[in-house]
This record gives sequence, structure tokens and C-alpha cells, in this order.
Amino acid sequence: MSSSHPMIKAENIHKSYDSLRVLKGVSLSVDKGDVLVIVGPSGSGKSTLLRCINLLVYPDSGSIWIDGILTTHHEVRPEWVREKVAMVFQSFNLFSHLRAVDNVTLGLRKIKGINPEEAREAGIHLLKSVGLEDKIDEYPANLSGGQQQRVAIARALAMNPKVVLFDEPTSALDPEFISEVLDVMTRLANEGMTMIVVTHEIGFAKGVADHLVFLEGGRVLEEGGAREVIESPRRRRTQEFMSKILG
Amino acid sequence: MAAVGRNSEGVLIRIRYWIDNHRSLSAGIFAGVFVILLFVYLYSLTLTGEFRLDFVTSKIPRFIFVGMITTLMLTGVSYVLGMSLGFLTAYARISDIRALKALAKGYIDAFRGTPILVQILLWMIVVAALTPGYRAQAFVAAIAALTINTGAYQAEIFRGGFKAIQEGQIEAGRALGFTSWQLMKHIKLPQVLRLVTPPMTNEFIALLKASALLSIIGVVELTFIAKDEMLRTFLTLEPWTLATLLYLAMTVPLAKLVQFLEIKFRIPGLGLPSDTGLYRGRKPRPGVAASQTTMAAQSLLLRRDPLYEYFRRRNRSKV
Ligand SMILES: Nc1ncnc2c1ncn2[C@@H]1O[C@H](COP(=O)(O)OP(=O)(O)OP(=O)(O)O)[C@@H](O)[C@H]1O
Ligand SMILES: [Mg+2]
Repeated sequence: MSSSHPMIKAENIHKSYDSLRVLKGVSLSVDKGDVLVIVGPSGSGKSTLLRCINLLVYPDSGSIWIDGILTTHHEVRPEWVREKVAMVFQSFNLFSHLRAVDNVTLGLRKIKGINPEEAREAGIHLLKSVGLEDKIDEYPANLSGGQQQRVAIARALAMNPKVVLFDEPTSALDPEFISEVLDVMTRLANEGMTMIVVTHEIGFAKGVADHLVFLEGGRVLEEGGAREVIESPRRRRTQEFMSKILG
Repeated sequence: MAAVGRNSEGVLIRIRYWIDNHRSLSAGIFAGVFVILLFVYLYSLTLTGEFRLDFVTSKIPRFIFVGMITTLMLTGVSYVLGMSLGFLTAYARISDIRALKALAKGYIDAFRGTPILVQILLWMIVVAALTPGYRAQAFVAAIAALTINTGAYQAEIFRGGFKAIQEGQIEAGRALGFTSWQLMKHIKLPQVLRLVTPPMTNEFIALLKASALLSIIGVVELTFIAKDEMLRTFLTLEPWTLATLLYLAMTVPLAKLVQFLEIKFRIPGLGLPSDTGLYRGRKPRPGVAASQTTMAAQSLLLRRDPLYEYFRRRNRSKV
């Protein structure tokens, strides 16, 4: 792209909960259209890092730029940042009082002020794109985990974000439903969406990710091309971790 | 002996099971039998002149247009005022501000932990002291007592509702860019209102029944009128039978109406679980999100009937 800045840039992010130091100076950068996969042991701060990037939590120090805009600046409204940076959660988190299509369009209607008919059309279109044209008016409780997660992805895309963050999107799913979600994510990546994905699905990381970051103890221990780090990690800790998740 | 015991137990279980599977029907049958027996009894008394039907017919207007209307008015006004109070108190109770939390908790404990009759008398004394010579003192005290009492109960109901909402849904809403006011309006409130409908209906009925105690401070509501007629005419069965029927005429249809609306507008995974036998639609497939909400809602808001659970478990292990 002609723009010189990366789509996401985080510099020296620190975050503590009381006395627990979770992030100890994390920096990363993702170019427009790239996919970054983050791996790391439980408690290493992966979720906290993602939450900092869309300002669900504020970093104690450090700077974050989204598409060149310094979002950690005190004059930037967090709601504005979250509209640009969508998020998909491990436990789907669909709104249980709304049908699939209304889950997808709630933001369009209530934040962007788009009228219900137009929003519904957009919602149906999005649900079709994740293969759920026959579940438009179902409530979340009547959907399988894989279907719920695909609705959640459609909901994230509805706001037309610049970036989508995925926090272990398949780890709450029964094995039989994992691939349908990964397929949707792969297609999204191929269409040029900028993505940060916390996942231990190594096949996805190898096939789709451009870069990979290995996080441990709140620090980036190793980073590089996804394939290189997975197949020939340089540091001992990374080797151990990779052999563990490769099984 | 043992065989007989087991046999009769089996019959009991079967009856219990049949009732579980035909809840509205069996409730209707019980109510119908009860009402018929009552009328047969009263009619027999009428024949012997022990029950004065003419009293009932001549006093119906006073019972309805003075007693019942006052009862409904006082309950309705207090219930609605108490709802605002309860909602704010619940909000204070779950806020992060310590002092507010403590204040809310103190209020809730104080008014749920004392008899409402005592509260009514105290309010009457306070209002009488503050407004000497004012003619509607009893009315003011009545509304104050009922409002502040029901406010404490409703606060706990709302708190349960808020607690039953999954934290994750709120986070998802924030991640979409909703402000905290929008989260309340579009995500929390619609769910909370659904979850609290059954306990809030119970609370209305409980309050309506508690309003009978207002007769003590001279509020002319349904119970006061029944007592008043008893003292004037020296009839006992007649005024109290009439009052009983009028109370039932207020509470039973209301409970039925709310239950009907609840089933009609049911959302799978929210509130009313599908295995109560009330809802005969499609069973929700257990998704993680839905089952969590349902379980939280059940444990917080729907008192599980231990007897029902016991028989259900026994029956399952037998099959
Ligand atoms: N809101 C919070 N308050 C206090 N501590 C928290 C909070 N959120 C996270 N933590 C702690 O911060 C640490 C990092 O949590 P985080 O969720 O970022 O880890 P993670 O890498 O995503 O782990 P997992 O793989 O288990 O999801 C953990 O020790 C966690 O207990
Ligand atoms: Mg995590």
C-alpha cells in the first residue's frame, strides 16, 4: 500500500492488575492486510494484549496506533476505537435476547443509526457470507457452537472494522465445528482483512498467518514469519512450546 | 407390607408425574373442585338461612368500588414507585462505590428483616408527627410503607437479574463500540426485564396481599371494609367470603396473564427453562452461552422445587 504506516502498531505496552504485572513492554506491528498469530502459555497476557489494542482495558503505559492514529491519546474516545477494531471471543458472547440477524445488526442500528430494513439486508448478506443463510432468525440458544461463532464473526464484520481481533475463537468448540470457523477466518484473511489471532491451531497459523509472536510472561520472546517460528524456532522456550502444541 | 408400600409409592409418583406433565390442566381441576365445593357449602348454608346471600349482593358495590379499587390503587402506586427505588438500589448495590453499596445493603436488610406490619405502624406514627391535623395521613403512611418495603424486595430481584447476565455479553457490547448507557438500554435492560418478570409478578401479588395490613391504620381498603361490615352487621362468613373471592379475582388472573405472556414471548435460553413443562416448543440445543445464562437464571430467579427434582431423578433412574 502507498501508506507508510502499519495498520496496527503497539509500542512498549505495560499493564498490571494491582501488583500482578501482566504485560511488561510488548511491541508489535501489523501491516494492512496481514495476519498476525499470537501464541503463548496460559496467563502469558495474550488476552490482555488484545484487550489493550481495542481499549477494552487501558495500558498503563505505551502507545498504540490504529491506521496511523494514536488511539491511546486521551482525547480519542474509546468507543470510536472499538468501532474500528472488532473483536471475536472464545465464548462467542452473542446477545441471547436477539436473533442471529439482530445480533449482527445491533451496532449498525444503534451506533451507526442505519434504518432497520437496510440494516437487516446487510445482516442477511453477512450471515450468508458465513454460510448461515438458513439461521437468520434463530436465537443463539438454538445454534451450535460453530454457528454461534460464525454469527459472532458476522457481527464483528458488520461495523466495517479496519482490524479484527480473535481471542482463541475455536478453543471452546467441539472438534467437529472447528473447521467451519477456521474456514471463515481463512476466507476473511484472503480477502485482505487485517487480523490478530490468538490461537493454538497450528495448521491455521502455518497456512494463513504472515507473522507469529510468541508471548511468555508478558514479553515477546520470539517473533518472525509464521512458518519459520513454527518449524524452526530459535529459542529453547519456543521450541519446547511448539513441540508441546504440535503434540 | 413392603410390596404394598412400593406399590402405593409408585402410584404417588405416577400422579405426581401426571401433574407435572399437565400443570395448567391439573391446576384448573384443583381450583375448579375447590370452588365447586365452596359454592355447594355456601349454597347449603343459604338454604338454612345461615348464609345471607342478600348481604353479599347488596354489599358488592361497596366492596368493589371502595375496597378493591383502593387496594389496587395503593398497591399499584407503591409497586411502581418501589420499582424505581428498587432499580436504583440494585444499581447502587452492584456499583463500585463502597459507600453506596453499604447504604443500599443497609436499606435492603432493614426493610426485608422486619415485619411489614411494624413498618406500617412506624410510618403512621412518623407521618402523624410530621403532619399534625392532616386528613390523609393514613394514605401517605400507607404509600410510604408499601413503597419502601417493596423497594427493598425489588432491589434484590433486579440485582439477581443483573447478575444473571453474562459478563461476556457486556464485553462484546463494549467491543462493538457501545457506550455504557447504550449497553444498559440495548443489552442489559432487555434481558434483565425478561429474567425478573416471574419474581416481579410474585412481588406484586405479595404486596397486594400485604396491603390488607393497612386496615390496621384505618385505610379504607378491601380488608378494612370486610371488617367494618362484620362489626356493623355481626355477620362473619359473608364479608370475609366476599373479600376472599375479590382478592382471588385480582391475583389469579394476573398470575395467569403474566404466565401466558411469558410463554408466548419466550426467548430460548433466556429465563423460563424448557423442561418446566410450561413450554412445549423446541428444546434449545445447549450452546455454551445459552446454557450458562439459563443456569444462572434458574439458580437465581426460579426457586427449584426440591420435591419435583427428587421425583424427576428417581423416575429417570427407574426407566
Ligand atoms: N481483570 C483482571 N483482573 C485481575 N487479573 C487479571 C484480569 N485479567 C487478567 N488477569 C490476570 O492476568 C494474567 C494474564 O491474563 P490473560 O487473560 O491475558 O492471559 P492469557 O494469555 O490470555 O491466558 P489464557 O491462555 O489462559 O487465556 C493472568 O494471570 C490473569 O489471571
Ligand atoms: Mg486468554
